[in-house]
Parts: sequence; structure tokens; C-alpha cells
Amino acid sequence: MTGLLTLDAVRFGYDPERPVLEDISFAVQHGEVVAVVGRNGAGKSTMLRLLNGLLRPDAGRLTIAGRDSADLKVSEIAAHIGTVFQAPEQQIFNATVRSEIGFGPAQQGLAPREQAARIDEAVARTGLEGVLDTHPLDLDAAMRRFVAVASVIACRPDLMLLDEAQRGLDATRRATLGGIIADWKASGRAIVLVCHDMDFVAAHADRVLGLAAGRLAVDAPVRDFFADAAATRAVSVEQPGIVALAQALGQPVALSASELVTGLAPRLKGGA
Amino acid sequence: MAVARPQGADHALLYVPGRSFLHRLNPLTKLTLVLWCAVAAFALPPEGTIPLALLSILIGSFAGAGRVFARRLALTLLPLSVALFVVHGMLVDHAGARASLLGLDLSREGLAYMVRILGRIAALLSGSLLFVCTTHPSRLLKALDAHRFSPGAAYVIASPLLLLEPFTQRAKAIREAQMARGLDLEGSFMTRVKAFPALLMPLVTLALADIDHRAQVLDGRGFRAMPHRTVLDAPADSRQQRAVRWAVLVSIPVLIAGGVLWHL
Amino acid sequence: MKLETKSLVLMAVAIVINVVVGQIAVWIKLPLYVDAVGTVLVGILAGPFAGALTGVLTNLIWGLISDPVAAAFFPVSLVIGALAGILARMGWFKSVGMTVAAGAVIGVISTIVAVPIIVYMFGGVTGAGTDFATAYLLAVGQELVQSVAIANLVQNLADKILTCLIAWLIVKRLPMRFTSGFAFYGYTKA
Repeated sequence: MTGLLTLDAVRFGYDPERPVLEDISFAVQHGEVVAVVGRNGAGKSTMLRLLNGLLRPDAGRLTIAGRDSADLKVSEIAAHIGTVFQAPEQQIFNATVRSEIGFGPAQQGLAPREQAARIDEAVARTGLEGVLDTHPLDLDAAMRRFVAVASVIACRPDLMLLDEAQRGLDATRRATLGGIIADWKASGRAIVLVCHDMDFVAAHADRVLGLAAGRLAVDAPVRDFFADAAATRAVSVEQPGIVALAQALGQPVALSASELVTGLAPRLKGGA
Repeated sequence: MAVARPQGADHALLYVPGRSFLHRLNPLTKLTLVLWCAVAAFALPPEGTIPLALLSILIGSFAGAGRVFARRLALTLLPLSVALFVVHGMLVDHAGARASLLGLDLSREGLAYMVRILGRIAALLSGSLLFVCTTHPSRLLKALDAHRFSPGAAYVIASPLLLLEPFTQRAKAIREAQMARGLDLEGSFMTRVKAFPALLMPLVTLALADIDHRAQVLDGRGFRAMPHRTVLDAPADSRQQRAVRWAVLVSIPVLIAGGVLWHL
Repeated sequence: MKLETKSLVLMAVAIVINVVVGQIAVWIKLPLYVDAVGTVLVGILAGPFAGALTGVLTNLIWGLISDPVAAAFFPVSLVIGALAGILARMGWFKSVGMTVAAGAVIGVISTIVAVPIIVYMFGGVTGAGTDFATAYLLAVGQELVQSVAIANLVQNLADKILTCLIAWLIVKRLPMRFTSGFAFYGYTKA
């Protein structure tokens, strides 16, 4: 099946002589949640900007929904790929949350009734019901991020890019974000998330792409990635605490506390 | 601004780093000289303004700013020359003799007027460039501070110069973020006009939102608590320079009088 | 007249806004300069004196960083800022319609101030697109000053009306926690 998004030997450098990313090849399918990990400066943000068309590869090809990205303008790519940037303040320009979320559908030229439906859907998923008439910049940083997420949801792209969207969120809001990711996946769409937080990756991603020194050092299912200490070392990330604990106990990889407990149950019952 | 902006203005300072004599002069001295040039540009006839401009260009080249001078002068003077040639050489009804050039019927008086204006602008521009290319704004501020300039005024001059680069970067980031949301910057005129708010609202709101915080930080540091500030490394000044400044300032009325008399 | 620190910071930011918004206008290939948005903004938020000062400093700073000749037009910017403040005080920025009227007034008066500078300093030309209009008007028999005035008036009107509309839009969309700090804005708040 053709991937939703395919990269083929992509190379990019802000200075063409010194590539930041080299020989990057992977595909993202419908219904996948892919995490991009790596140390600071590994090229994760650069990768995101290649995906949404803000940067163009020096070599190689990017295929989005079957079309070569070189033939598409950034605004056209935006119809397929929605980005939640690290600083939502850079996108917010409307006076109410409602109009901010409605910007995307309006840009797409949808009928007013359809626009309203999209806004309602996005608001329901992100829990912004109470603040529809508030100025987005009067909200706290976490809520602003959700406004940005809602703006993307309202556009219904096939792929959502999240740049450290979980950073700075309290536990409740992280759970909400996790719910949004799960819903998105369930609807057959895909997510690529750049993330430093390995616990979040363990909890929500299906697959991990690890960048190191500008190359794709790892492309593995999340479970396999965390089980392999060498892989996590190669991209300079830490195993989530729960994985390390499971390994220390001689258990198979567990990605959450409940999973570990379930795995331990036989031993616990049988033990002293 | 009603005058055409030179293309390729990229908001970098016109300042060219260096250690020439001009660089080492106190900024206030240079400012006084610019003032003199400005007056001279109006008081002197083309026989005076053009040599003045050439002299400034020469000095500027020795200070290392030759390329900036050439570029700025060309970008400003070329369109003006063409426009002046057409407007005054051909169109405006100047009295007096006609001249024939390239098959066109031109007014001598009009061409002379064109030369006068160009000479004036060249002198003005080169004079100011001498100042602007050899004086970093922070040194100007220090010189003003050292001469008891009000800190509030100094702030309003210095701060924009320092904020310009970060704000331009922010504007670019905003442009990218909005493009990634489907904003089309290359469409029809109406599409582009509608894109305007999406580009400038985030920039402006972010900029303005910062203000309270900045003001508090400034006040918290005793900004404007005293009428003057002490400067740690003020640009060097000397008796000779002070004398030169006085001499230049005094000569300005003389220059004006001379200009008036010459025209009479 | 001593201004509050907050007003000074506003002015500094507005000066940068003037420059950067003008830059954005170039990005979207708008045929207008739109380089006085910050000045008008300060007029609306902090009054005519601050507005005028913002305008003057913008030109002087523009002269320092980019184009010393533009500094010669500081009286025009002074007038724009002062008028914005005066009209704001009279409540002209409360509605869209009145804002357009304010833009028209500013456009006309700033042209009146600009024309002598253009004629006397630059011989009537600007090196920009309006010169075509000036030339055309001269060719059909108008005097120099009139040609310059008419040619620049049309562009200036469009430019200032758009500038005022943008400033109005910005001010209307500012979050409450910001505008509450500027008392002068009370004249505009509907």
C-alpha cells in the first residue's frame, strides 16, 4: 500500500556543503503514530520542516499522498499535513478561540455549516468548550497549545505533526493529548511526533525513528526500540524507567506500569 | 516614506566595522559634521555640492565603506536621475534655451536644475553615510549618555535598533507557520491582502504583549531614576574635537549667509 | 512632557513594527508602503505627542540603518502620529467607517506636508512609481506642484487608509490585559 508519506534518500543542509540530514528514507502509513527521537541538534525540527514543505530537500524525494512534494506549494501540502508548532503564539492572530480554530476550514473554502461542524468537533476533542469566546492569548500556555491542536484537527489533514506538543503539560492535559492522539489514529490518520519525553513515546507511539548524526540510525517498532539498549544509546535517549525496571526484573519489555504488573502477576502469585 | 526605498534593504546596519580615523572620531563630532554637510548641501551650488560629495565618497572609501557608498548612491541617485531628466529636462516648462540631446528637445534650465538637485542629494547622502557607516549605534548612544543625554531618549533610540533583527526573524517564523496552515502568499491580489492580517497580527500582538514585562524590568533596574547615566567606556573625546565641533557649528550660519548671498 | 516607561517601551516596539510591517508588505507584494502602522498605533494608545515622537524617531532610525535620505521625511511621520492621536481622542477610531475617514484625513494632510519636501528637496520626484503619474500630469499641462500633489495624494490616501485600518484591527484584537494599561485607549474603546 502506498504510504501516506514517503521519504526516499532525502538529504538537506542549511548550507548545502554541510548536510544536517542525509539519506533519510522511511514511510508513514495510515493509522500510525511515529515518534522522532534523538538528541538536541540531531535534526528533528529540521525533519519536521521538510515534512511540511517549509524546507525542501537538496536531494531525494518526498511523496505526500502519492504526489511529489516538489510539485506542491507549502499551502497545498498544508491540506494533507497539519503542524502544531512549538510556539503557537506564532500562529494565533484571531481574537477568539472560535475564529482561530475556524481559520483553517475557512481557508479551505468550506461552507459555513461545515466550518461550524469542524469547529465543534475540534473543540469537543480538545476540551475547549468553555473558552470559545476568549482571546487565545488570554489563555495559559497549555490551553494555547490545545487551541493550536484544535486548529489542526479542524482542517482534517491526513497527517498531524506535533513538535514537542506534550512539553509543559500537566498530567491531566497530557492525558487529554494522549486521547487526541489515540482518536486520531483510530480514525485512520497518522501522527508524527517529535518528542524528548520517552515515557510519552512509550505510551503513545507505535514506531520510533531515531536520528543520530543526521542519519536515520533506528527505524523500529516502539517495543523493539526500547528493548534494545544499544539502539537507545545510539540515538542518545534514555530508556523509559518502566522499561529499565522490567529488564532489571528479567521481564519482557513493558511500556507501562500496568503492563509490568500484569507480566509480573504469575511470579507474584507463585512467589513467597 | 514618500521616497522610493532602495531595493535590497535588508535591515542590517549600514555600519562597516573598522579602525580608521573616522571610526575613532567621537560620534558627536561626526554628527556635527553631518549637520554641516546638510546645510552645505542646500547652501552651496552644484560647483560646491558635487566636490563635497566626491570628497565624502573618497573619505568613505578610505574608511573602508567604499562598497556601501557606491551601492547606496547608485540605488538612490539612478532612479532620481531618470525621473528628474524626464520631469525637468523634458516636461516642466522651464524658460530659457533648449538643448538637443539624442534627438530629444530638452530644457537647459531643466537639466541644470537636475544637476543641482542631484548634487544636493549626493552631498547629503554621502555626508550622512560618512556618519552612519563609521558609527555603530551603540557608540552613538554612549557618546550621548556621556554628554548627559536623557536615558529615556537614549532607550527609545537604541532599543529599536537592537529589536529589529529578532523581530524580523520572528516575522519570518510567523510567515512559515502560517504557510504551513494553508496561507497562500502567491495568489491573487485579494488572497494576498487577506493574508496580511495573518502575518502581522501574531507579530504585533507578541511584540505588544511583551511591553508590560519590559517596562517593569527597566523600572526595576532604576531606569530613569537619575537624570543622567554614567558610562563605563564612553567614546574618546578631546579638547581638539570639542573645538572643532564649536567651529563647525559657528560656521553654519556663515555658510547659510554665504549661500543666500550667492543666490542673490 | 515626561512619558511613562511603558510608553517609551511602546514607542520602541512601535518603531520596529513600522519597519517590519513595511517588510511584510513587500513579501506579499503589496503596492503600498504601509510603514506607519506602529506610529498610528502609538497615537491611538498613547496620544498625539507619543505618536508624533514615534514617527520622527522611525524616520531618523531608518536613516541610520538603511536610507539616510528617508530621514528627510520626518515631518510627514510627525504629522501622521500627531493626527492619529488627535483623531483617536475625538473617537474617530471607534468604528470601521470612521477609521477609514481618519485614514483619509491623515492621507490628505500628510501629502500636504510631503509635497514641499518632495518638490524642494527632490525636485518633485521620488524615484518611485508615483513619478509616472507626476510625469503624465505634467505632460497634460499641469504645474509641477499640482502634479506632484495629485500623483502622491492617490497613493498616500490608499496607503494611509489601509494603515489606519490595520492599526484599528490590531487594537480591536488586543487582549484586554494589555489595553487596560493604556489610559488614552479609553477614547477609542467602544
